[in-house]
Amino acid sequence: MTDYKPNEMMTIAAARALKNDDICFVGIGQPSAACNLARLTHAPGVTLIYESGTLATKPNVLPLSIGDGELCETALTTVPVPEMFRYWLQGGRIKIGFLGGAQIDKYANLNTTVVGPYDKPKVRLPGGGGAPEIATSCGEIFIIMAQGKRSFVDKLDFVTSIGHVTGGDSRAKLGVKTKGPTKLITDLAMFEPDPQSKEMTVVSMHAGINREQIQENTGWKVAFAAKVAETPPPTPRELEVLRDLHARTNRAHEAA
Amino acid sequence: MIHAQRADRAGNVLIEGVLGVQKEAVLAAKRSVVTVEEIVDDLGERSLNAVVLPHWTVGYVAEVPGGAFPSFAQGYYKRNNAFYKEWDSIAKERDSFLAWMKTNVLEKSPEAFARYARKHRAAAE
Repeated sequence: MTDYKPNEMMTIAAARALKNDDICFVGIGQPSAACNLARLTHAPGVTLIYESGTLATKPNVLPLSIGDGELCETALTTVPVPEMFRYWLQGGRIKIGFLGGAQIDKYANLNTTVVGPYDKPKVRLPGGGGAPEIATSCGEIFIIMAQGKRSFVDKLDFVTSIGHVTGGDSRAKLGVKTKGPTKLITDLAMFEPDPQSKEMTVVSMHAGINREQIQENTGWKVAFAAKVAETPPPTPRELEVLRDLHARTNRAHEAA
Repeated sequence: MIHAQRADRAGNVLIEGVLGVQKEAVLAAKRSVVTVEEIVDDLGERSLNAVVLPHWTVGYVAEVPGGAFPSFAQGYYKRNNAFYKEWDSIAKERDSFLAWMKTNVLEKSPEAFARYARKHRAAAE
């Protein structure tokens, strides 16, 4: 069996969640790696959109920011940001939003704003960008995040983007009509919301991972589905394409 | 204050590539300054739907080649990715930010930047 890192398993499992005809709003960082891996493997027709307004972009290297020239040069077209948000995102044109975050809770609400008290932060994070609007306006949300006690927390320091809020029908009660987070892909497992409680529940564990490891890296008592699957390990091709993508990205990002 | 590719002598400004909220920022502002890579006699051949800020919406235009540094200007030069990443650590603490500003901006002349920008642009071509 080919050797691989937990982070590679996470990106590959996340990539597999995308289909060829999906239209996906892509967050920078981990989501961007997963979405482009999907495009370079099983989903060449997937439409990737970044919030800088680049529609159906096909970057050869991963962007450092949403506004990289690479995204614009390889896009079908590029629209202004206000148009992106008003007519494309809030117009309900985008099926999936792919997000990451610094902190997540069991209802998949996300914090990308601040660690510690808002007025006296321990760490000031980059902020939400378009994530709050993506989280409510895309048909559904996929989240990719490596697990750890500091990131998978019982209570967020700040709610930047809502997921299933306080569970049950609390999201719908706020007047939000979209599905919210339907998949959470980590370096250890895959979670989906329980149909009733909406708590993110383990539905698949990556090969070689056990329940104790998942619990040790989560700040709340983890729920497991009645039947938990095993995530198929990366194929040699998935690993090769992902590693090539990262290698040429690193070369491009080191250039002065 | 925004940066764009070029303006003509009347002050009409052409923007190409990732537009962001540049046009909206100028239209929302009471006063604006647009720095451009070059001032030209004519904006040249362009799409019928090219993004142009008419001169009467723009306060001032200044020719500042390399003005997008360390980022890129579509069609002129690429971003300096290595410095773009380095900026994270420079800007993380106020002291390191102020020290960098003193050495590279406050104690330097616009001519020094122009020399740097020319070099950077030539390297990209």
